[in-house]
Amino acid sequence: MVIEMNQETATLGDMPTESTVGTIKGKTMIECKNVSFSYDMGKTNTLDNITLDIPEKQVTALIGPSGCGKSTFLRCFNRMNDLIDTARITNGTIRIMGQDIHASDVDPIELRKRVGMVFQKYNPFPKSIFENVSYGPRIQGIKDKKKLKEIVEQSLVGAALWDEVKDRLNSSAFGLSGGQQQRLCIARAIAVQPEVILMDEPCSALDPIATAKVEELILELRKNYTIVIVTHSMQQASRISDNTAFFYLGKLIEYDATATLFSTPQQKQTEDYISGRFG
Amino acid sequence: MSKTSTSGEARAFRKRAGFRLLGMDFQDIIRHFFGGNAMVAIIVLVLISAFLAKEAFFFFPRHLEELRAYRNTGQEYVGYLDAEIKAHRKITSQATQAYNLQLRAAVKGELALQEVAQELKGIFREKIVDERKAVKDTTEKAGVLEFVGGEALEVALKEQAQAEKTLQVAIEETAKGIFLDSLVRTEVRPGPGDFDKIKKAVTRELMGEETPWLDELAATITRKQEASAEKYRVFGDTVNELVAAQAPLEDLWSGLRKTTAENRDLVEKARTAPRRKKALEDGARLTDDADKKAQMLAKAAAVQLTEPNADEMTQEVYAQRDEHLVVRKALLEQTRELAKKIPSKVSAQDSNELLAKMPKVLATFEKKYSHLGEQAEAWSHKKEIGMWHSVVTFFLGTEWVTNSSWNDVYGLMPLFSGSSMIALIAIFIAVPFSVAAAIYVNQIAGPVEQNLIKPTIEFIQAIPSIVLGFFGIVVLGDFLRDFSQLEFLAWIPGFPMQERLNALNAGLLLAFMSIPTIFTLAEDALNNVPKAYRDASLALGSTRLQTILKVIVPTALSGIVAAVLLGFGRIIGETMVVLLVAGNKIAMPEFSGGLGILTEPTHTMTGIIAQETGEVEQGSLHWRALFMVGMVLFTISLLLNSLAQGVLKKFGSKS
Repeated sequence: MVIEMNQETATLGDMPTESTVGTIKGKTMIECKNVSFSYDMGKTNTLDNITLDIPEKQVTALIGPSGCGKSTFLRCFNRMNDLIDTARITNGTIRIMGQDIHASDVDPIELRKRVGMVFQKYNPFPKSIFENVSYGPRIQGIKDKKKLKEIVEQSLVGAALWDEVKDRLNSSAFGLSGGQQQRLCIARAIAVQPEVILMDEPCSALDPIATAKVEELILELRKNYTIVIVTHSMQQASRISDNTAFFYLGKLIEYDATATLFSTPQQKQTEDYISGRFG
Repeated sequence: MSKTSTSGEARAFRKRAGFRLLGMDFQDIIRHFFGGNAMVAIIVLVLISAFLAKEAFFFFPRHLEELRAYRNTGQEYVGYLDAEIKAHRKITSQATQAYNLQLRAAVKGELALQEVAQELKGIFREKIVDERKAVKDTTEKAGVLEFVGGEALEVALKEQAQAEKTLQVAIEETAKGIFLDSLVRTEVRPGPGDFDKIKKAVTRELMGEETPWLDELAATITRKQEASAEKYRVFGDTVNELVAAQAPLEDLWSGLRKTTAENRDLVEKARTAPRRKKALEDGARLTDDADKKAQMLAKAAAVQLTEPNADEMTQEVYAQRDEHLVVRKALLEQTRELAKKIPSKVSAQDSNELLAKMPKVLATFEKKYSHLGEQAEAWSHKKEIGMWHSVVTFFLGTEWVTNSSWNDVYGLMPLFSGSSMIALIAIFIAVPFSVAAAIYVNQIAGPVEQNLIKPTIEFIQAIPSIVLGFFGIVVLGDFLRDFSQLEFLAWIPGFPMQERLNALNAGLLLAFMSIPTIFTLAEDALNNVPKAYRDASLALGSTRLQTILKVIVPTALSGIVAAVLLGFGRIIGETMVVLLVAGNKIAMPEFSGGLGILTEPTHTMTGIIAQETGEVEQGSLHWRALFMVGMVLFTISLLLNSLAQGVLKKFGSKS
């Protein structure tokens, strides 16, 4: 199958015929089987035949060079790709908690309530801090002020932001620093009490100190949530993730426990990439 | 370190010699060209504002002179009389109408039959149009040939007889084809028996025979009406007496009106006297004819330069004031007496409706009348009129009367209310449509729909307003009137409409015209909302609609409000459509009529300028009044624009 992508000038040699998948401990949360995905009605596949299982209440990092399809893969889990008219899964199934999320009786709106997302560039709404966090619960129909306050506080505490903003809940979210805004977005995502949180390069727009705080938060969150994170930084992946999947040109090359993958990569491409010979 | 020589390496970044004009190089010239263009725009704007302001503000002193003249000539006093008579006429017309309706009601059935007969006649005529024409032609021919005689005449007479016969046959044939269902216009349906009688009578009439039944019907109507008049004799007499009671006041009014109008002429003459004198003198200087010269000089000398004395002019008014006070008191008492005699209930329903309103009409009359009495009693020509009065009567005046032989009045209110009424109708219709369209195109529609809808809406802007106005007159006016006459829509205030050209018609067209403005700007505002907000909202599990209503529209709200304000500015400044379609009736809308005022014809500030500027004398009061109206429009536009910019600045998107 031909894959047309924004190819890097350097290449990592021949594609392996099969991806290497190590043993992943824990209960499976997301189960992907032979997933292929296309942005143009199936003419060319952006993701090709990916099979991997993501365990519950662990951090799974997706790494790989730009354009390898890791963000696309992430967006499959909450069906954000549905917003693009010509994009579709051409093959395979994704099951979350055992349910095929592309089955006809699945409502993507309900799915997204269980699978939250944090974006690359922090994007709070132009509203107050309180309104930002309470937005999710509110559209789910919670109107009781007291209950909303409770949820907001819990979420902000959960996102390690409560102490910094508790005195100015009603001021605009834009008054916060970049790192605070990103944590606010995380608080907003956990306010709807999802099972899974998808993070699409959450620290790429932040400075090192803010990054450290967010990473700390992710380690905290993993106690309660299944986290899938796309990152460009291999250090970050090794610091915070339990498992790491390496993607290249739309294929899954290697997937293993983070410690194993970084210490003894099985594929040559993985080794080249993590040792910085490429990328 | 060794220094480089200036003439050496540094030459590389020195200015090179090349094209220069007035000490500027090419870059400078282009820069000044663009800067100059921007400057010209600003200068022109300032000049226009200054010109408008200069021409307009001299309105107030001149207006003050006019108001003084109105008082000094005694015209103001006559105005009170006029208002008294008008107030009284409201009572008489109400009573007269009620009385006439009652008389009509007595013969309602008969009138309905007569109406049916009329309609039937129309139906018949439509069907036998050719036959009737043949009879007419042959008769004419025979008439001409009568003088010739001979064989030709015989042929013609034969033809005529033949045509008449054909006509009769046609009438009989037609009669067979007409049933009760053929009637569509008349509201009352006659019984089948009556209908047959009417049909027969109409057939006979058309055939040129006698129609005793129809004659009988007419006679019955007269008889019954007389009987009814007899029955309501007191009512009728009261109505007549009410009308007659006005006579003394009217006499007084017409006498004084004549005198004061002459006074006003004197004032106008005195005002132009210096100019006339100068013109005559100039003429005399230029002419060579000695006789003419002498004549002109004599005329110039005869021109009176003294202003007419206000005391003298108003003498007559003061002389008649006592009489007026007596007459008006008598009228009031008489009216009170007569009002008691008006029956509060008669047999006709519509008449009763009018009579039920009578007490209210009387109360309004009493209030107005006593107020006018106080004013008349206190009136004095010596009371000063201040400048503020000139300003207030312009901005709050409820009348705009020009080119009148009596007195011109310049009050902005009828025009302002017309303009705002139309603008409000338009904005109420345009905003939902254009904002909804913008949301749909920007957030929901697919690329195919976007490529269809956007250019289509934007094309509306390219339609010349005169074409839209033409459409309003020719198509929309008729359509609206017919539509408003549908019975099940009668509950809508103002329906059925009396006029084709009215505020609603103009409002609809202006709404149509402003849709592209609001749509485009609102769509831009929505477009400026970062896509990240949409993604974030959707990722939280909200539906598309929730995302639009709770995130996208609130974020773009300032832009949408600005779009609406600019659309409003466009509407209020639009001229051609309102001039053609609004009906151009200068009058305060009757606010007591509720929303019904929206279907009344009206005039606008823009319309009046377009309509009257061409006809007025430069520098006259009327001319300046129009400038003042322009000034008001200019100010409104300025305010709306700066408001829109303010909204954008203050609440504009903060991302």
